[in-house]
Amino acid sequence: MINIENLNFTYSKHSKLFDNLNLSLTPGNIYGLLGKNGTGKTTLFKLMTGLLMPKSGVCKVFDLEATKRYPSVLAELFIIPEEFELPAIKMMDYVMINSPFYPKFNKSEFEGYLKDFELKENKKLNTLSFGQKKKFLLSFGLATNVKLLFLDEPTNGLDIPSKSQFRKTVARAINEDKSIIISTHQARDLESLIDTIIILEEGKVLFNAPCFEVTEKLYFGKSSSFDKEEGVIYKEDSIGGYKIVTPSKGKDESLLDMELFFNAIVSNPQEVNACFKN
Amino acid sequence: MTHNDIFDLNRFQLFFRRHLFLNYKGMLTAFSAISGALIVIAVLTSIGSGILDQESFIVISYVSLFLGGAIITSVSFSEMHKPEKSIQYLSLPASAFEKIFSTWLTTTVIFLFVAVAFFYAAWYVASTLAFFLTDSSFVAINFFNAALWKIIGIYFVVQPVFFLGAIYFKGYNFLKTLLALFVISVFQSMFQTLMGLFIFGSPKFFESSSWDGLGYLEDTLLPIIKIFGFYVLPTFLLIVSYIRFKEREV
Repeated sequence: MINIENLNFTYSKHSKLFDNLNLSLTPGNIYGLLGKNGTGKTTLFKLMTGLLMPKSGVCKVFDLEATKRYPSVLAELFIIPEEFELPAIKMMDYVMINSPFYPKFNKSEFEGYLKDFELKENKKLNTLSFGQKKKFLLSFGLATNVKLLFLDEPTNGLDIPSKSQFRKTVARAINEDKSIIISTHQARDLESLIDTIIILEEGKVLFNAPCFEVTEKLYFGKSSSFDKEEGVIYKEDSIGGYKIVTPSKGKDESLLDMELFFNAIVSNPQEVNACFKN
Repeated sequence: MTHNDIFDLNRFQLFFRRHLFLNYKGMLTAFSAISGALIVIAVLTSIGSGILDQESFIVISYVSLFLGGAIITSVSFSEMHKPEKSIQYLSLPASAFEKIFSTWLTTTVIFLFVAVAFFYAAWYVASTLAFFLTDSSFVAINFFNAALWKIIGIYFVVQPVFFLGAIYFKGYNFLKTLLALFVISVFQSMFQTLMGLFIFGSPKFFESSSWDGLGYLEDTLLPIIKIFGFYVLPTFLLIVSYIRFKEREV
């Protein structure tokens, strides 16, 4: 679906943002793109959608170069940026002028998503709050039924019930033909939704594996005392002790704590990645 | 890539409709403001003389056509330059050619037709008002004379300059394009003067010369310059606009 080969990208002459980046994404998954601020999550989105040109290397979407922005490719992808502005027109007018560009757009699905997000009236888009605008655009994006949906910090600006609704709606919308790529630094909001984790660090993909593999290889738990002998890879202070990450050898499968995992791999990449080599 | 990825009539119509839908209010406001100003000027000047000055009305209409066209064209890619809108605009499934062509059609061709229609309407409203206010006789107007075709020719040369400016510059497009035109014309004058000095020993050689070949040069060079100015230059500017648009990043 997306193939990135030896991609180099830089905003300034002195520092490379991506250095020989290689990444391959397949259909039917919800990818979680994680990384610290400034690691290039949004930039990678823009490169994957052809909105930025790599300095060298290639990014192919459906086997075609993303930078060419072929309409047939664009009709199969939709991006919901972190910050956006909608025109001062009514919701249904927006649908009327934009939906025909997406051949698989389903109006009844769109109305269903609006209902899920409690957006009922055909209001003018500029009168909506930022959260409501985001819900509107999410509904539109999901209703396009494109093969690739890019969501940049989708839960920013959503209230608590809407975050939960967002997870339910996205989980319902995915099928084996589609992929959703979510860039976020709020890992906790989306850990139940994401099925494959991609972590960016210093211009490279630091980690790329399905969530089930993470819980298969690592154990996330709590400990009242910190003992290096237990094989603890990473620990964090917590109420009444520590949150710990250890190799899962001999232990029952634990629930994935994505935030803890992210901190573990960023602070101790060699030891964490070593668990996945076996 | 397929042929369909460069130009598809259905997609072009969809983008054209979208562009019109998002911009028609701004264009109508501009036309109404220009027409209102034309009516006020025409009626006020008729109060003293008792007649509507058709010649001045046509001249002001032509100036409005150029100015209005340049301003509307300059802001026609504002969606692409605004960071909050550019991602949606550039990722909209239409080819660069479809986006460019429909924008040019709206801001140059449609604008011209609507502007002339508004000028006619403004003239007849002004005539009616003048008839009641100053007892001046009701006079018909005809924009479609030889001068109009010349003006339209120049309009189609000037518009691509502002079209390129609208794509090239990221803000204050109209003013930046005017500034660029000024800088280019200064350099062109300097180049012309220097070339005159270098080749003929005087920058005003042609004006003072009685050289026999002057007529021949005028006969051969002038048509070439006309073809270059009216056909080659605007086409070149539109091609550069297309290339620039294709390479546009967010």
